[in-house]
Amino acid sequence: MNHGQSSSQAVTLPLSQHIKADGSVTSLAEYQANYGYQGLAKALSMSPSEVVDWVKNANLRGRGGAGFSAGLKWSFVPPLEKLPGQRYVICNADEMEPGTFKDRWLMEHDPHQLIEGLAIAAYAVQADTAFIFLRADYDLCAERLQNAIDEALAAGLLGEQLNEAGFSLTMLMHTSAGRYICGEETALINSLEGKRANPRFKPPFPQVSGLFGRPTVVNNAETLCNLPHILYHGIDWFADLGLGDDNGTKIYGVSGRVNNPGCWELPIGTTVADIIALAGGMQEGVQLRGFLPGGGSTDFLTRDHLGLAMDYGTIQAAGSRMGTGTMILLDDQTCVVGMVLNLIQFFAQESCGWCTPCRNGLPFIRQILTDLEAGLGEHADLEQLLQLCGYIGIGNTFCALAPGAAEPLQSALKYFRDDFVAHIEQGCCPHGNSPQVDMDLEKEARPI
Amino acid sequence: MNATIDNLVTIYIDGSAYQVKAGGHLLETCLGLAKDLPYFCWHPALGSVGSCRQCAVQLYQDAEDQRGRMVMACMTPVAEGMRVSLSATMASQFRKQCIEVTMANHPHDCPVCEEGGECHLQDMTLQSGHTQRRHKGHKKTYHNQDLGPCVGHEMNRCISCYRCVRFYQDYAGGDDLVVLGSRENVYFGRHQDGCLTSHFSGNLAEVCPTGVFYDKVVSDSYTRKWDLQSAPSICSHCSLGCNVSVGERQGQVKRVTNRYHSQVNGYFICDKGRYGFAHSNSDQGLYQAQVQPLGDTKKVTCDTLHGLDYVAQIMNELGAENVFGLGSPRASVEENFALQSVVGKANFYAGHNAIQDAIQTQVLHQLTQPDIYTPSLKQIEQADAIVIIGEDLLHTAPRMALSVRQASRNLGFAKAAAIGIPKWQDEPVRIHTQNQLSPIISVTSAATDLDDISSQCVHLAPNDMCDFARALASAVEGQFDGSGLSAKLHEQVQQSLALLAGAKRPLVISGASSQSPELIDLAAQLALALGRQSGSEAWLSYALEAANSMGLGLLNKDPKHVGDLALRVQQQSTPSALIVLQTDLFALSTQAAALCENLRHLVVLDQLPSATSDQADVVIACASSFETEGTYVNNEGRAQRYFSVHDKQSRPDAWRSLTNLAAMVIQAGPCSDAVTQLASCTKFDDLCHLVSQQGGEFAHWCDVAPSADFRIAGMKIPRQTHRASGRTSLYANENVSESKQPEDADSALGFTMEGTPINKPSALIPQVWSPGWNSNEAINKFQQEINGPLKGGEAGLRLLDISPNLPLAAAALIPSITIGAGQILAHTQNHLFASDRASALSAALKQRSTVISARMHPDTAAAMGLVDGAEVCVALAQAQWLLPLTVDASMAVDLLLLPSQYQAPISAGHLPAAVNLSAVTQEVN
Repeated sequence: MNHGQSSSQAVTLPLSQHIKADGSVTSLAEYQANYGYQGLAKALSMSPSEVVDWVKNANLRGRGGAGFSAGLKWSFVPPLEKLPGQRYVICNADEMEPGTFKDRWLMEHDPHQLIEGLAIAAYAVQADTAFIFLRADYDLCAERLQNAIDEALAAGLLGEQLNEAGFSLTMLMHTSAGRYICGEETALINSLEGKRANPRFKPPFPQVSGLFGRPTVVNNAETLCNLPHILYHGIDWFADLGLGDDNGTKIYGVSGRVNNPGCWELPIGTTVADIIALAGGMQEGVQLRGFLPGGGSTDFLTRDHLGLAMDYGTIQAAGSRMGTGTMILLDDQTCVVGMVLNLIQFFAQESCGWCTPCRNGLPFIRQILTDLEAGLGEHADLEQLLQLCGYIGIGNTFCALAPGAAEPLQSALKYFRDDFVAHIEQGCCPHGNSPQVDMDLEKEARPI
Repeated sequence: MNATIDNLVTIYIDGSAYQVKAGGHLLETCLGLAKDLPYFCWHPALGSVGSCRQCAVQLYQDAEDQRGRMVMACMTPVAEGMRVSLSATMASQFRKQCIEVTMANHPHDCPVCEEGGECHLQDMTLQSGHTQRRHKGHKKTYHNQDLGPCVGHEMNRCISCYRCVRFYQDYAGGDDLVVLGSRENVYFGRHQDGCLTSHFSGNLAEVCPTGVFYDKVVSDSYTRKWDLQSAPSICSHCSLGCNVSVGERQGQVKRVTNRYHSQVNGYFICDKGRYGFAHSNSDQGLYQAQVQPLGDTKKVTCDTLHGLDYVAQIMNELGAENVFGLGSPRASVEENFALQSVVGKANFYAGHNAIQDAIQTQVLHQLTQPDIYTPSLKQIEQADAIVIIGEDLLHTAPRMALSVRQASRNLGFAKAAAIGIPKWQDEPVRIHTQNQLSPIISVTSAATDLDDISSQCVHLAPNDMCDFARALASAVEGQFDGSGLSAKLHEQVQQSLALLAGAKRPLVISGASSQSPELIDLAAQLALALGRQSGSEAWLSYALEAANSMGLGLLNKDPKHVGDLALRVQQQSTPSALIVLQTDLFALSTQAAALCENLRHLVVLDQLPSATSDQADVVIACASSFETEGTYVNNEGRAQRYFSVHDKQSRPDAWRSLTNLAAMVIQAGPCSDAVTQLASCTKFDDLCHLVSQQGGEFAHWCDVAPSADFRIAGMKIPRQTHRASGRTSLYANENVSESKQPEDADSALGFTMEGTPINKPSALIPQVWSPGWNSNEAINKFQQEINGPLKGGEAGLRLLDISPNLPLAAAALIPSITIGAGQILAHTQNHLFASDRASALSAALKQRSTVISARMHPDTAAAMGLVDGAEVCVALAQAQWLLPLTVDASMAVDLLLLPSQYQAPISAGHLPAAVNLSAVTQEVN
């Protein structure tokens, strides 16, 4: 197999190469001027199973947080001969992880990249219908993506008879009604079917029985954006981009009290310190204490971990997860109890209400943290918080929402226990915070 | 069916090996092994969804694995060599913690909660070991909705197990109870206050593991479960024979709940069965005998024996040959048999009109054909294609409609099984199946509740139904030429044929409400054709008119009905008397008035007054099915016994009055053997023995339920719970000394607390209770396996399985109906909550009875110059009925549907008939 074009040595940051400084969107012409849609053309000249193998060999890992091999995920879709009929691909663009804004950056500025990637995925699994499930609040993305879909359709890049074998593709955009749980792929599918956005039990996995009971692949937007380049430049090129064990580049983001918060494309495996440096370092007068490496549902790491490479294996070995690769920093002037309370509040609010540990466990935790932050805590609370983190942990719940929610809290109790104790012993927040929880939730109008 | 060795696997639970059935999940397996494992969201009929996380167990990789991982038992299929622990610390701590967070918002209002004392949440909380509340926050409070007269709503108690909506929507097909909101704020209710529309809504009180949905009627005059005196009973409202448990306190029936029978009703009954008991407490009932001596103008009350003595005198006066009996499909086999014995077989008539009689004869003939099998409700759920013809099941056999609904999922189960999803994995099955359902073909006069799951809905006038059934049967046999059929009907038959093509277990359902004996026959022909096509036994099920239609049919195989009786009485030269058992002649036949005219004496045995008892010169008040014992034979020929719940009878058993009458007749002189034998019966068992001596289907009558001398450890089976309170004070207002509990010589049940609460024969389980299991969920301790038969076997006896093919007796020829000018063919439209007098006395059901109107297709209405909402006058013979007209586009044309309603001027018994129809014009002054 030909593993790539020869003229590709120059591209090292493929995902952001079209992103313009003025924030305007890349047009179809601009996109096509620089090998746009040639990755798709290449895929369409191959057999679908060759595309699956190609991506499998590229070892493109899912950029949505779990890091599962995209090609392997595709390969679980039963072959057409075994299970004929309708199948679907879905772009998970329901980017709602706290501190995460990478997909938005890609979609707002270079929508064709995602469309091309999604078309490649659709071809690989022989889906004639593809959906973009977009976060409710991403109005600009919605507008630009829809325009781009229309452009591609008008240009014959989507639609009927895209190759000699007669592959056709309809691409539809669906804007979410605005729930974090819709980012969970099976809840997303339920939502797309018009049902309550509750996660589904697996097995069956969506690849076997997904949208409307048909084989379905759900890939994260950033993951899909990698596909045109992998197809065009090849596997070796992609492997060379990464610094460590993982291949390709990653959109890293930094939020918190840095001088220049934002997101950047960097080789996967860049160190935490280098990423924070790119964000301009800490603001004057504040010290970094810790960071959530990949969004609001990853464990805290500390200053001791600044030298670590941001890749899946390294961060996991350190006791956290790379997640979405967009870190949230904790500084010495911010109350860690307040920070985790804020996160727990978010997750409690976003629980779908299906399983008990998440539905009732998270509000239970929120209550204890609210009391702590208000100076009403007791030492026994800390033990109970740890117990509750275990209670809502991995394997105990229906989906990964609550276990993710437990991660910042359990690691805060590990690394910053003194802060919690100080709240109890001083009878107030040492940082002068009052509980930030929107207690109106308690009183909200209920169906009558 | 016993599991064969092939599908057994060995699993290890806390170190002990068990041989268990493969294919199930760990929760049902553990419960089936009599282990205690708490659960909320799982329900044996609803399957697993894994939402409550309460049934966590520790699963180990192999014998070496000491750590294991936690899994939800309800979501984990059993597998050979599987090792699990229920007692492992991690899992048991997790279960405890689950309860702790679940209870954070629960109001702990157990002392005032309807569910208190039979609350699954209480039981599971205790079982989990959670005792210390640590939650410091406020509890949430919710708005409670008014859900109508039957089901109460107390949302604060909710633990969000999702069972209510899964039962209501997914199982029962309701659409007005939903889950709203999300996170900790999920809300189970309606979009706005209003009466729940499902005819199965009362089951919510049993499905809900706590007191969110409760039985509002019980709540109105509340008694704790432990204080209820309960008896096993059989619902008397339709022909299906759902098993129910009746609870009373101080002489008042307080409630009716489901009583599990694996082959009949399973876990659910309809709202008529649950709420239609008020007639038994009604002050409108008959409680005393009344006699109106000849020449007097008023009846005077007397004691029953005096009344019976008066009847005996009549019999002696007129001579036995001039005394007739009219049995009832609503009375027990024993009551009908006793009346038949008193008057003699030749003088015994069924409480049927000519059509009902012809239908009953057809039913018995068809169901005893060697190639035809009539399935139980549980078996109906296994059908993979169903043709319903001429029956609006929701209103005539509601529990069967629920079984059809389950059968419609079989295609989905098969589809899911193909990718390895077991049937109990409720959500994956539904998701994978989407909207694909097994073929259900519904052929009715108008839209029905089952149309939403029907692949094909055909709305035809009754005659066209016959054409359809005939054509479809011949089409299935490959002999369809379509001649004589309209193009539309032709197309409909073709469509049905295509739908039924692949069926392996087809079923045809029809019934008495078609009012067409021909259709009963054609349904059987269709079932036989489908049986041959699928290479299996033909499955055929009929919904019959009343609780004991089948029993009466078997007693009265040489069919004689009220029309025959009217003719005979008319032709008699000598004066005659008629003894009527629980029947209103006037609702049965338009000949009733003429018949009464020709009688010298009319004797009525009944529990409620009727037009007939008003006309009678002797009324013998007799016990309802809650106060006496008896046997009904349901639509599948299953004889099932019910027992009295009351220790103090307010009126005598009808069967005992009839045996007493026989004894009085004997004293006056020589009489038939049948009367002599009946007179010798002093106990119910004696009567059963006499019934069994008829042989044939009745040969094993004494085996229907254990006899009165049955004992466990020398004791009867208690109707009261071992926690019953107030025994010494309950009647202290009447007598301060504790009275002796009444003896029950007629059953093996005692009116006491003494006796074993477990290991009872299946027919004698008044209520379920097991240590630690106070709610109805305790049923798992009584089943051989989850969803399987009770440990005491299936209660009741299927009679038709041993019956030879009964000949199609020479039933009266049903004259065809001629539609004159200005007339229209009228048929009955059944309404579950309005059709009969028993449910009409239930205030809760009365509120839920639909607005009564006549219905007609818009084209037919237009042709007759009528508009929707118009007041019309329907006239049949002397009867006139003014009621509004509803125009219904789903209906067949040239047909008027009249509601079946208690005390209506034109009752179901008068139809079908050609009626005159005219618009009522407002008179202008």
